[in-house]
Amino acid sequence: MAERGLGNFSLSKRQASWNANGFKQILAKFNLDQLAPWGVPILLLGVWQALVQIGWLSTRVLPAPTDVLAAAVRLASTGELFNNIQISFGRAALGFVIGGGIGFSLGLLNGISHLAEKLFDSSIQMVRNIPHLAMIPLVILWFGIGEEAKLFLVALGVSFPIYLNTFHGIRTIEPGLLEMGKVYGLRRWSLFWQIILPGALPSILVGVRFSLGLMWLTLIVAETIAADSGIGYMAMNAREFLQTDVVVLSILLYALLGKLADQITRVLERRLLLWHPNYQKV
Amino acid sequence: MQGIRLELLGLKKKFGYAEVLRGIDLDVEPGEFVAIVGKSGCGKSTLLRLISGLETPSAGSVLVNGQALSGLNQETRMMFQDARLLPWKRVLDNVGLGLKYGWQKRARQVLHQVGLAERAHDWPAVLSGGQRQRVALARALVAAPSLLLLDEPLGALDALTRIEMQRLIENLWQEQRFTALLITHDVEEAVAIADRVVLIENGKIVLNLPVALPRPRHRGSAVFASLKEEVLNRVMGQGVEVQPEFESEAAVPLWLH
Repeated sequence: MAERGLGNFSLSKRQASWNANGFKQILAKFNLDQLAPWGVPILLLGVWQALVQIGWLSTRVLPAPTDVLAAAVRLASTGELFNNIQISFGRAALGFVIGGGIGFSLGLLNGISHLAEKLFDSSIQMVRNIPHLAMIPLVILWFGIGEEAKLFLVALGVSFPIYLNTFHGIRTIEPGLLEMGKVYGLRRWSLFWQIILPGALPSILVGVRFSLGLMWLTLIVAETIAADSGIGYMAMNAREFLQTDVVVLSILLYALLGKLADQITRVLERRLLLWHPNYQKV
Repeated sequence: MQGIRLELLGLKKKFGYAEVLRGIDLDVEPGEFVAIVGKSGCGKSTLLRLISGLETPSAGSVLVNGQALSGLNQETRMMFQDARLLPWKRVLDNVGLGLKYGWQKRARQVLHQVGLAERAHDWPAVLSGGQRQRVALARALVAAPSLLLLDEPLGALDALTRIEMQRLIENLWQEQRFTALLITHDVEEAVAIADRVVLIENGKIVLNLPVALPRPRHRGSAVFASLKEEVLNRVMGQGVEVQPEFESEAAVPLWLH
């Protein structure tokens, strides 16, 4: 964050001197500040393309970016690509909503009630310590390779970070603020909406970010092992026909979708934590 | 707005084996301003928490207008040493905390009274310590409480801001006539704003001294100085060397506590 801030500063300073030199219009067209993060990926793509064309990299190992693009166009034209993206995205979203909802509710319950914590917390911690991907054989026995298997795994993986961070967020609310709220006439619900939830929100959003990472990871593994549709299935199918370009395309798609999810949480953080000194624009 | 009559009858509070308050009897007239002074750990804050209803007494009772207090004291507002503003609410929303329907106009008025009308839409994080306490004061007064409890609200402020706040509190109290109880380490502050100074030592009231000075009070006057001296000497006790300056708790480094 700090580095980016510094970058902004030096750019805007440079901007000022360029303006004076008459480069104003060029800068207005290309917002350098927004383009900067894309510089490295674009450079890497260029190097990759060059290496393949010189012949240093076999297309078996890594097809050229243009070949991957061609594969994307080919699959898009048959509708296969978007169909698979849609299916994967739907699984991820639904699993996230279910698992996130369960984790959030349990976190709230155990955070607010010491009795509930005593009853449930150690059980939750035990289940949490099982790597959820280790459940795959059992899950396949239970659900086959149907939708439920993927949803179950994603929901399971996603729920723990949200549970932990919601619980932690509520428990670390300043007791002074709660006491103040009581003296100022807040009861149960108003106390929850005005102090407990906003106070726990920064921590909850950290949990959401962790969960989104786990969401894709779980889905990738689940789709490559047990699926008959989705991006992971597309990749595994392509492997059987030695279509390296499609495999690489699938991997890039996961990267893009992950980046998208991360971007969404950033926007959420900026909007919901407007009050937080760390998120305020200077 | 009329202040309440507050009576404390044989108030005791124990935490485990430690008896913090050992029988406090005190009558506070409606609209009176009483300052409570005493050394750290003498039970002042516990007393305030009992009156607000945040703690329940081990023995004795708190009477509000003749009625025994049970649960949280509804007509009471409290100011704490730290402002305790909600960082996720803008200044105006902090002032209106816990109010229902059409509070905005009243909240703006009170914010204007404490001189922060133009900061209504700022986040608390960008305010200075003194400004935060002024917002906290506005928040306490917006509901027109009949009893205001002040738990060392000025302890953490610098000397100039403190005097400014003392005047502000005094003025607003004279306007609204609520009953006020101020806990402070600062004897000068107590003599400057209160009608009466009460000294608590080892969980008991050992001094109950009316301050019969006309308002506005001049801190330079001889009567003021002698009253301050009298209280200060009692606080420090006999045989203890008198320190040149009676500092507030906040001025002492944390590790010394």
